[in-house]
Amino acid sequence: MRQLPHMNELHKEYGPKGLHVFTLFAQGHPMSQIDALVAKNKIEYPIALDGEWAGSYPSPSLPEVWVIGVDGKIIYKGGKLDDAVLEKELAKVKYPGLGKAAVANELEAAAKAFGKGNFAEAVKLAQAVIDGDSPEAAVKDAEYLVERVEEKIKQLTQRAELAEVQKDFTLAQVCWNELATRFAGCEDTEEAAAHLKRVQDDKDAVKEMAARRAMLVLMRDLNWEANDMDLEDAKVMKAFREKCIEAFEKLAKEHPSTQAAATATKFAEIHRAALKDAEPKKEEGK
Amino acid sequence: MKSLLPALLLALLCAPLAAQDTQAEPGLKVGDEAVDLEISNWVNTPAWPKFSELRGDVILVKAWGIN
Repeated sequence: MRQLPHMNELHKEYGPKGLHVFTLFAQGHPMSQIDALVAKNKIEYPIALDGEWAGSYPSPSLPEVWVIGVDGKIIYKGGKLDDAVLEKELAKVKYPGLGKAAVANELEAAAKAFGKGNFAEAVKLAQAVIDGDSPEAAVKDAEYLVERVEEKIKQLTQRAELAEVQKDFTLAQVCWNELATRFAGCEDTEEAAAHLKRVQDDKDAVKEMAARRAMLVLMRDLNWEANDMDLEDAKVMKAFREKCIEAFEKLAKEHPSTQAAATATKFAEIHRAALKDAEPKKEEGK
Repeated sequence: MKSLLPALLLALLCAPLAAQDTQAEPGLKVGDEAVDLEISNWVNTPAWPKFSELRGDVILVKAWGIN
């Protein structure tokens, strides 16, 4: 906890130099407590709340830190991080995001613009190198840079479109916003701002985001509550399942026609089926 | 200490809640290729959640909790 402000400092100070900070919240606390921590510490870096990570990034004790180097391999793993590890590796990153440690002299300005996130300017400068009477190595580097920008735009566009299909409108907004701001002026990003506004103004998207958030809060609350229960006790388990059914059905009713409502309904049905399965066993024991 | 892993959220459906076996797995070691995260929910959702898309830069991953 005391290290949270330091993580913010790393995120802000080293982010422009090529550091990406990801954190994994490895405990089951309710969202209310997590939200309070985020607000109190003004956390700006991503915090993963659930998903699959324990197999690759297990944390038998907390905190646990991994550093992934420029070659995509783990270069550090341990409980406490010495900033010198980061600084040494970051020294290898000359142009953040470019994936290339050195470029031909003629491309230096373009690569620096890319590293600062001025992608439209970087492409313009690289195109000038391609169109000009430049050495072959410089043209090759320039083509690489232009392709890198195009690849990033393609990845973001596909991610945004897929997120919309999957009704993850928060991710869709993040991606459209990234395209509309950091990639402004680049080819194929002209409609990003319009897409962002469309999603922001879409009432169904707003409903989906509210429902998704409600589901997250509910799941964490139930999980937190279950942690103090003796679920081996059939009576306790029965009462807990009944509570889950009630909570999931309530959520489905409050957020109708949303993906979260469908999931909540399904979860309620699973709990109801489990209750039914438990009944014969109870009778047999009598 | 309450320390249910987020991966256990869906385990609400499977009674009783079991211990998180994955905690015993060794996980990635120094020198191993990094593995992308598969995350359902974020605070401060990143536009670039895949480590494989960030090759050439440096990534800091930290697992943490409240107590």
